[in-house]
Amino acid sequence: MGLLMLSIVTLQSLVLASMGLAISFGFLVLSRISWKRVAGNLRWPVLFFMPFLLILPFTVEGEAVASLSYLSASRQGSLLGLLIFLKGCAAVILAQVLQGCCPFSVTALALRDLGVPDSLVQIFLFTYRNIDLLGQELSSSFRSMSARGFERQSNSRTARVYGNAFGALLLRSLARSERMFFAMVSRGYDGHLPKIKARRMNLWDWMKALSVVFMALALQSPGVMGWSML
Amino acid sequence: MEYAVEVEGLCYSYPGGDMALQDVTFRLRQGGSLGLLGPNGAGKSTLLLHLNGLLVGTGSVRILGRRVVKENLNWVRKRVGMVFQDPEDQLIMPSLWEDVAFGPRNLGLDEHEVEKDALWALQATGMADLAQRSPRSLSFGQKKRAALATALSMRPKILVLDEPTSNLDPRSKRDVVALMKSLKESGTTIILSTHDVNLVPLLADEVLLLNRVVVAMGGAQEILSERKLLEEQGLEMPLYAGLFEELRSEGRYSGQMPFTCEQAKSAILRASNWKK
Repeated sequence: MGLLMLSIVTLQSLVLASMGLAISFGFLVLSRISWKRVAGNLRWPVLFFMPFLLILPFTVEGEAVASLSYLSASRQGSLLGLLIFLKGCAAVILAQVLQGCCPFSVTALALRDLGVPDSLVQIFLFTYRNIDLLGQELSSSFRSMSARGFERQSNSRTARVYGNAFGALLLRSLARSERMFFAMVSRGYDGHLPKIKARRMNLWDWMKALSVVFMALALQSPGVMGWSML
Repeated sequence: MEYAVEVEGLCYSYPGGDMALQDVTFRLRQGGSLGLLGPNGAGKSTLLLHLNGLLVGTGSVRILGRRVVKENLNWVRKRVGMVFQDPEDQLIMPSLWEDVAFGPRNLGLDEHEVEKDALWALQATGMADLAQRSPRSLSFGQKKRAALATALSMRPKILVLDEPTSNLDPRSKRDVVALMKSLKESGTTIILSTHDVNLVPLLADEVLLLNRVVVAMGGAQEILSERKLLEEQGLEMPLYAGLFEELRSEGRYSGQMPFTCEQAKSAILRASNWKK
C-alpha cells in the first residue's frame, strides 16, 4: 500500500492522478471503513491542499483561461493545482485505508516486521494511546482556568498563562510517564515489545499484495514509456 | 510457616533526600491479606513499589522466600501483580486486549497460553465483552477493572493494589470488592493500600498502619478498634465500629465490635433481644 501511495504522489499526469484517486476510492469501498469517519479525517488535509488549487492558477505563468479584474488564471497553474489536489486526496484516502482496516497495534507491529526499528514502533504505539490522554489533561487545565474567570485575549498575560499551562502539562506528563514505565516494568517489560508469532501469508494474501504492486507499477508505466496523458 | 512477603529493615529516601520509609519490617503469610493504612505521604505507594522491585531501598524484601534483587526480578514480577492507583498509568496499549495480553507476552508464553490467560482475566473482571475497545473509551470504573485484568492475566500469586476503590461509584466499588474477595478465597495473597477504613474489614485479615515507620501491625479488627491510634494518624474508625464504640462508651452496648453491615445487623438484633 505504501508503494501505491508513493506511485500516486509521484505521478505527473492529471489523467493518471484521477485514476489513482479512483483506485483509492475503490480500496476505500473494499475496506468497508465508515465513510463518515473518513470524511471527518479528510477535512484538514483537504483544507491544506485547497490553497494549491486556488493560488497556483494565478501564480504559475502560462496560457490565460480566465481573468478576474487584473488577475488572470493560467491553464498550466490550474492543471498543476488540480494535480496536487488529486494526488494529495488519493494518498490521504489510501493512508486511511491502511490505518483503518486493522487495529493500530497490528499496523505498528507489522511495521516492525517490515524492518522499522523497535524503538520507533514503540514510540508510535505509546504516542497513539497517550496523545488522547494529554489532550484530556490539557482540556481539563483550560476548563479549570475558565472556571476561575480566565479569558483568552491577545496580550502577554494570555501568552504567559498558556505557557504555564503547557509547562505544567509537560511536568505532569513526565510524572505520568514515570508511573507508566513502572506499570510496564511490573508486567515484565524489558525495553522491547514481545514478539508475536507472525501470521503466515496465504496464496490469496500474496495475490492481493501483488495486485496492489501491479496497480502501482501500472500507474507509472505511461510515464516510463513516454506516453503523454496530459 | 511459608511467607508470601517478608520485609525487614526497609529504608528508602527520595532523590531529594526526603525519607519515605524508615526501618519498615513486616511479614505476611501465603494466602493472607493485608490492608496498608496511613495518611497521605505515609509511604504506602512507595512500600508497594518495593514489593515488585520497582524501587530499591536498603534492607531486604523477600517474595515467597526469594530476595528481591536484580537477578530475581523476572521471577518476582511473574508472581507479584501490581495494580496502580490511576488506571490510566496502566493502560498503555491501543486496545484492552493488547493491554491484558501485554504481561503474559512479556513472560514469553506462547500465543495460545497468552490468549487463555488474557481471556480468563477479562472474564474474571467482567470485561470480556469490551476486549477490543480502546481503553480511552472506557468509563473510570471499567478502567479500574481493566487495570486489574492486566495484572491478573499474569496469574500472580500475590496481588498488590494501590487504592483499588478510589474514585469509584458504589456499584463499581462493590464489583471490585467482590472480585477481590473471590481472589482471596482462591488463595491469592492480597496487599492493598487504602484510605477507606470501611473497605479494610471486608478484604484484609491484617492491618499495617504506616506513617513512614510502622506505627502498628496486627489483626484488622484489633487495629481498627483503636480510635485514638487511628485518629493520631489522621484516620478514623470504620463506620459501624465507630458507632458501636460510641454506644459502648455510653454504656448501651457491650457485645463484640461489628465491622461490616452483616455484623452490625446481628449486633443490633442481639442487643434488641437482650433488651426484651
